[in-house]
Amino acid sequence: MNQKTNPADIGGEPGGPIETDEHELAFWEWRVDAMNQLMRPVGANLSNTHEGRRAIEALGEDYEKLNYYERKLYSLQALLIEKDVFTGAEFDAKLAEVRGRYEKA
Amino acid sequence: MAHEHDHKEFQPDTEGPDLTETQLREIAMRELLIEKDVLTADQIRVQVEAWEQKTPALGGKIVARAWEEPDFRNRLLEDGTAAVVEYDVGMGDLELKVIENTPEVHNVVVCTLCSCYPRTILGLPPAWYKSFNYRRRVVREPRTVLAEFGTELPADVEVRVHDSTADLRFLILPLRPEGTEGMSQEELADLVNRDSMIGVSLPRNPS
Repeated sequence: MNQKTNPADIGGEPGGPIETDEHELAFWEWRVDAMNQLMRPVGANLSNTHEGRRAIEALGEDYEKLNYYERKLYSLQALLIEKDVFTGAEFDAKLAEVRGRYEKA
Repeated sequence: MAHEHDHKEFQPDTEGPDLTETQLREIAMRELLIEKDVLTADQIRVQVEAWEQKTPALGGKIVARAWEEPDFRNRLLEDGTAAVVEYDVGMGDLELKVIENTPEVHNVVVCTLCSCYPRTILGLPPAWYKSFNYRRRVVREPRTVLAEFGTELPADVEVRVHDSTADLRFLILPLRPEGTEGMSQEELADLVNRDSMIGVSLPRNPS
């Protein structure tokens, strides 16, 4: 098999049963979807379909480990750091603050 | 499937102490974007509500009309993007391609690279459409996959698989079930389930 350079390029690979149960999105998933949509040119104009896809594919080996909306969330974080919307350190500080708040709760 | 919330519960997934790492990260992202004046909390709420209201019902309406009105069918097949504008569902900078099933050819849609889907018409894609196994297998063994969805096609029907791209979204115009002459467009639309517009199933037969 050829070396795969894009982790998303899975069409045609062997696979197992398809889980067809309906899945209601969790609130956090709806919000990740919304934030992604709001980054588009008609919104904050910080990303578009193609940049979003490129950022997801750049997740590399994390691609398979994360679920669908985790991929969207982690790739959006990388993209916004790349675009200087916030720094990695700012995100980490924010995450620590949030973690502290909810762990105390 | 209609999306049903219990509106009495207020966001239980951000109230409890047992948030996952991902949920914490979502909160961090949202708060940071709000602090940086990139988004407002209200924009996010409005956006979620707008997407929650999008269901495959609109697709069913479009399909039923195409079955009844040959002019509309022709416009839909010729230029899907233009034909759906009147339904107030802009495709943005994306193209909508409508593909018609015939007695000889059955069509099914996938996005092998991700989850590209005509979401302005059908709402957000079902989980299985985004799953690794659907993306892997439907391009290699579509008949087997269709059978797993309960769709057994005669051997002489050709199956074509359409792989979506970020720019190009597909909607299947299913075959009109037999015995539906004289039904109203509303009644017809009720027969058109989501999966028949993705191509993994057929419209319901009239009872």
